[in-house]
Amino acid sequence: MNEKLKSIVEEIYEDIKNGRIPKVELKSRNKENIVFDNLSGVWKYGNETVRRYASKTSSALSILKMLYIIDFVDEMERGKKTSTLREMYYISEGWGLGKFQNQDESDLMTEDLEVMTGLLREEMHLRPEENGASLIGNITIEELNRKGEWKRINCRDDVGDAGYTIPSNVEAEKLKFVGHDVDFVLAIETGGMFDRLVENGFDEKMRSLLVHIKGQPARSTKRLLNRLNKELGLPIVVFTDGDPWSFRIFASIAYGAIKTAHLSEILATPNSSFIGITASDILRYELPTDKLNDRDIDALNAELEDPRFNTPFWRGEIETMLKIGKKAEQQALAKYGLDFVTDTYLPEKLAEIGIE
Amino acid sequence: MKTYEGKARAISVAEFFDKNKQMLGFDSPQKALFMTVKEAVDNSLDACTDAGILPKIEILVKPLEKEKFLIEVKDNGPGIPRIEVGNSLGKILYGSRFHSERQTRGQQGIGITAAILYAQRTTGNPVEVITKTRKDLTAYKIKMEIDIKKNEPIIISEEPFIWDVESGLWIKLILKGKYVNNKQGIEEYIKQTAIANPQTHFVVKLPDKEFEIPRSINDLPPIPIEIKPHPQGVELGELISILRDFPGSRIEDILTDSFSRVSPDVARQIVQKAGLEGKKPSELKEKDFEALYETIKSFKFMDPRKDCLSPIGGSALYKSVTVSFEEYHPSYFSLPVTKGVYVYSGHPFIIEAIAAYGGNIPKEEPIKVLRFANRVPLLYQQGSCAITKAISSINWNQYGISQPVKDQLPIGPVIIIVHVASSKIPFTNEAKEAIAQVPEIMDALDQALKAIGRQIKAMKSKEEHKGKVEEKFSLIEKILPAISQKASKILNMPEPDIKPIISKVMGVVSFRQMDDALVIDNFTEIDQNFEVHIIGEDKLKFEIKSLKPFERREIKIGKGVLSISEVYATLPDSVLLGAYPLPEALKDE
Repeated sequence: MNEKLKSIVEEIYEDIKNGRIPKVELKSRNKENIVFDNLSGVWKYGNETVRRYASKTSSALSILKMLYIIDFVDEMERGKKTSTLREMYYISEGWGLGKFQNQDESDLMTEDLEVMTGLLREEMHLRPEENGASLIGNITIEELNRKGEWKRINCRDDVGDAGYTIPSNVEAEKLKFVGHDVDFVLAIETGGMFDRLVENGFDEKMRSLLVHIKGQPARSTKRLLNRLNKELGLPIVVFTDGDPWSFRIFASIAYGAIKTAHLSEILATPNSSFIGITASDILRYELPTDKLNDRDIDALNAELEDPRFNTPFWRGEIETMLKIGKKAEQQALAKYGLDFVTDTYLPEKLAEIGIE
Repeated sequence: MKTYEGKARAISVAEFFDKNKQMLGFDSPQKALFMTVKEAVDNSLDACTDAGILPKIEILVKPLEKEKFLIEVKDNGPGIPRIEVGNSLGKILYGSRFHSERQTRGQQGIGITAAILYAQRTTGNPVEVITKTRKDLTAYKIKMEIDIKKNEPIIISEEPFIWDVESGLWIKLILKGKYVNNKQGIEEYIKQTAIANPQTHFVVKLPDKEFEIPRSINDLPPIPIEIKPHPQGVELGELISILRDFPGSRIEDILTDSFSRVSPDVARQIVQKAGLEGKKPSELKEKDFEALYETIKSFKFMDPRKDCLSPIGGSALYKSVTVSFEEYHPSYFSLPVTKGVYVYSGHPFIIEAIAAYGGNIPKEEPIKVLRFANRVPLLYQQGSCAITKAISSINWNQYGISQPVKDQLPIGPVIIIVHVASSKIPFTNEAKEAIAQVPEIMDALDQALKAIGRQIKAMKSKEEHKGKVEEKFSLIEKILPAISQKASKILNMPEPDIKPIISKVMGVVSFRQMDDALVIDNFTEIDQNFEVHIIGEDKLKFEIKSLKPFERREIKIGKGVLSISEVYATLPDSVLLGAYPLPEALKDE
């Protein structure tokens, strides 16, 4: 049994045996306890901890549920199985008082265990639903398949037009980089734009690895970007819609998210660059736009308070967007024809950040 | 409408009512069906009460072709002597009830006749009546119609009939109607009737369901005594008619004979005061009648006798309500509240009320109100009824029940039952669906409902305590043992004793109601000495000495008393579960 998980159970057992009210202790996951670490440039938990004592019914129930998860993880470990978070939620139907009310509750508790033990959920044999994020480009990887064999794949030549699908576990034990011939990684928000770049052969033309991040990227997508940057030294360039929500996608790739602050060091890539669509692009390229709604405006104002956006570049862009009151989609670039994005927009913008 | 027999003879009352069906509640096909069952059942219950018989009433509502329905109501009452059937059932305003003062359901003898008329007019079918009295050897089957112009029954046929019962009345009517089973329907009417008449056994067959309600008590209600009307209740027109019926008699004698609480001496004083000494009714002028009437109105009479009323009775009401509301599994019932006997306009009345709280009674809906007048449920015109008005005018927020809109019914898991018993219920109209807002009755209702409100407040705080207590006990009885078990199983170690952490987790003295006992457990780590005060209708005090950790004491006390009382103990709030700390104000009592 995993020692870190075992020690949680042992503490509870010892408490009961010695007539102490059992408890669990973990870093507080309140917003107030999340700090932006200037040194590493990512979100991290502060030093505040919380203790959940079994004298409160809700805490007692959460301790019981945690014990059920630990037992379940141990059982999977012994049986060499994994389960999705959703499957575990359904399995908890049979856990009596330990049954989860909804999947949010079980997902959150899995994160609590990550925070407490420093283990990744994948190491606890739990994985999210596949979200099917994919990539295309001249990189060769090896993936450990279900038969236990290392399967070698070139992500340009051995895949179809939809690309190589990123698995939920992208740690070195599952996925190895063998070789590559690209200069940078382009992380693209929408499927339509990803397909456009693939069709226009942008990966070969600009020697790039195209990653479709599918909106707010899953953990494994962010982890893969982090490894590509750290291990292969590839610059990460993020290309999204031009609205406050897409700005947050970039921030989460670059600096991490509140929910996963305990994992920021392996999930966030602080030296990523944002290429567009920016508010300045809207003006400069005279793109077709939509009006900002109230929620957009609230989000932009909140971003002005967010330390992740506390740079002259971001403050300028956010203020410009608020001033013009407009937002634009990636595909608005099609105003100037299907090739405009690959022939003009991206080369111009990439040149600005030193990629030619 | 004020009607007096002597005046009504000029036009046919039957004809009048035939043209004004809505006054009697026959204003829609749906309501006609309901009213017919109601009038027949009311008559049966009155007849059984008078004859001292525990009622068994069988009701059949059967759809026939073309919106026609067969209604049969069969009782085990005294039956009607064969020769009186025509006049009893087929003549509007027949009977002696206009002059008598006592509590009955069918106050004016109109109802069932109106149903017979309605059936006759909508289908042309005559009513079929089977009657058997104790005296007769055989039952008789009589077919009868009403001559609307003459206000006279027409007997179509009459023949002996074999019905093997000691006595009873069995009425069969065919009428046009519409059957809808809603909260103003026949089923609800019968169920509520059973609440107010717990001595009754019902056997019911409706188009969509069959059911039986056994009697919940076996005691007959006392037969209300018949008394003469109290002079304070007389109207000028009535007074004139009474006097003119005896043109040659002395006024003093007429007053003494016609009214209660009028002795020869009192009569003499009245006549003297009105300045009518030595006059005969035939000599009286308009202004003389008025002088006499005004004198009577201002004269201070003794209150009317009160034994002409038939309240349901506290224990019978409690019993019948606990049985009837079983489907709601209420958490608590209030004790019954009785107010009266009071008097309005010379008519005595009593208010009875009881409430149920919690369980499956809907929490987010306006409270349910069951209204009764002389043991008859009132299902229509809730909004204009004195009972509803009296409930709405109370500030329920002070009793812990949410009342978002002033002068509207409050919202909460409460059912309130209110019964008004009187020798004369002041209805708002002839259909007898709502009680008029007479000031004396409103005051009495207000008192009764506030007494109910105080009990509801206690029941609500009980319920809240119960929630907290249940949560704590689920923690120590279920969750903590499960944690201990699971942790031991994962580590493959023996299960530790969890008792020490239980007293740490609880750290309280808990008070729980279990059936008819208050169960007290000491979950603190020290011996406890304290007093328990149980305060509701009565104030009870118990001394608990040296209750050791994990020790239990039980105080045996009725379930009913516990559910409407609040429990206090002389312990600090921090160690109390399921009880309040005893406030300073109560300590010396």
